[in-house]
Amino acid sequence: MTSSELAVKCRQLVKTYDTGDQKIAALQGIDLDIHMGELMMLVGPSGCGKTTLISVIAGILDQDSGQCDVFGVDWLHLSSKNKLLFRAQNIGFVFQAYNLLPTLTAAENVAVPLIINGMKRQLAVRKAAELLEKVGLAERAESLPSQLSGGQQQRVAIARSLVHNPRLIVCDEPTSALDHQTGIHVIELLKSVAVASDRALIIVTHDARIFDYADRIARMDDGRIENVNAMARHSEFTKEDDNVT
Amino acid sequence: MPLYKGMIKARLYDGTFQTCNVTGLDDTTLIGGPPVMLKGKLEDLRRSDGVIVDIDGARDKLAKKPTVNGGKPVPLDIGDTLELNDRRAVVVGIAKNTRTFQSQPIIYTTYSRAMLYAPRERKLLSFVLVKAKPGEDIARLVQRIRDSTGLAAYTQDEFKTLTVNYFLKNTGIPINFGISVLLGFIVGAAIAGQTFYNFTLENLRQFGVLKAMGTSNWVLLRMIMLQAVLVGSIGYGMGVGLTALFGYAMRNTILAFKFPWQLLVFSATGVTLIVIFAAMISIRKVIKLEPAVVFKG
Repeated sequence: MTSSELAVKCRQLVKTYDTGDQKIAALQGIDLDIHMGELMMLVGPSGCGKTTLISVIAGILDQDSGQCDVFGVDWLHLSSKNKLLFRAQNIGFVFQAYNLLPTLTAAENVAVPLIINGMKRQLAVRKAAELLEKVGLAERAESLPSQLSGGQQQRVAIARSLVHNPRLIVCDEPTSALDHQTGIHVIELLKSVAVASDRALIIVTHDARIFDYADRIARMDDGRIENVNAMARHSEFTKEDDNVT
Repeated sequence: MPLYKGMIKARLYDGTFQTCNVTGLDDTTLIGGPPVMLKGKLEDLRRSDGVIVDIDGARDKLAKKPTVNGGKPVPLDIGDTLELNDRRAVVVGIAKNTRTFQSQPIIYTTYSRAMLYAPRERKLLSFVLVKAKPGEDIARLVQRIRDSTGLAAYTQDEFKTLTVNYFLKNTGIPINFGISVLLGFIVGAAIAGQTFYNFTLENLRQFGVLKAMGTSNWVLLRMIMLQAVLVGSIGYGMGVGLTALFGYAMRNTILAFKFPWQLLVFSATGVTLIVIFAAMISIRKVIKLEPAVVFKG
């Protein structure tokens, strides 16, 4: 499914956090390409810079230097307004803690990206309900997040990340808050509904159980990409990286 | 017409004393009497030793002891007697008065009888009431009185202003009220600000999610303002409603309660300022929020 067209191109990305007492180099010259139709996983120990990298790729954090092109557009060349617009139209998010709005129903939560993109609320909720049906939650469209299990909430979050048909979906630990079986269901769902030839997926994870679902896995350590492995070599990769979990 | 106004001690049925606000009306015209008579007639003041008592005083401070232990005090009524400065006074009427800051019972009698009740002083005359002829220029009349008598003379409005100024300058009422209002404002602003800010902090991640998904600061600002206006309106409605309810519940007590429209406007302005203050703190926090916070555990 992977095409040669690049969804994300990172070159010499550098990001440093200044905590007052010390400077922490979160990204130290990252080079990474992600292709359309690809499911890329970012793995590595805590604090290695995975979250910083997807934040920069998703355009919610500015790098200090280097280049990060998403669909040929460099985030740093966009004005704040255009950055918001580009993000609203092209990026979908799935979070570890689901981050659903607690006072909205499942359908309303899913409808949020559409409303942000200017769709009328009623139409957006109707489209959201259709997508909830696709992720197997048609009967829970009117439920509040607090009335849903963790797995169901993550399915709502996946529906929310897809509803506006974004070209890049960024997932942060989508299965780590779920039990084994639910985690597998969620990643299978994500792979079946989100992976498409006109879309790329980046998943940050510690969860070795889902590595098999990746097209490629980039291993990070100390703000650098250590290596990028295609799935063919992945079983071997998992074994040597038990400490990753 | 002469008018006496002064404080005189009344001896009650049980031998205790109560200071009363005594008004002595012109014997002939009885001008300056109570606005509403509940029992008896104003003219009954001309009966021997006649006094008229206000309803709140009759029910409360001048009331007779309960007839049974633990029972309610018996309100003073027509025919009951009091002693004002060792002189007998017979209740001939019960009146309803506009309530004031002072809580003493109000007793009306004639000017000549008030002279007997009041302790001896060189000049017992408090005021002289003047009724102008129809078409008379009030300002010129006032000036003429000043010129011819050398006394202070005031129009009705000037006298009102004089009274208000007296309370403002010579009593603790404005300071106490001012401090109460100021404290209420400060405490209200602090609590509302803190509560609203806490609400924002609790939902910071949700604001971050919206920002990450492409919601502009302008939209978030409007959301916060809408929430602030909603909370402020509910709070204002509840406050005004409860105040009105309190006033209604206090309508037959000695408490003076007035709720003019100016107070509604004033409190609405106060609530608006508090809401703006509370919203501004939250807005600042949300606008400065980095959307990358959504990926933090």
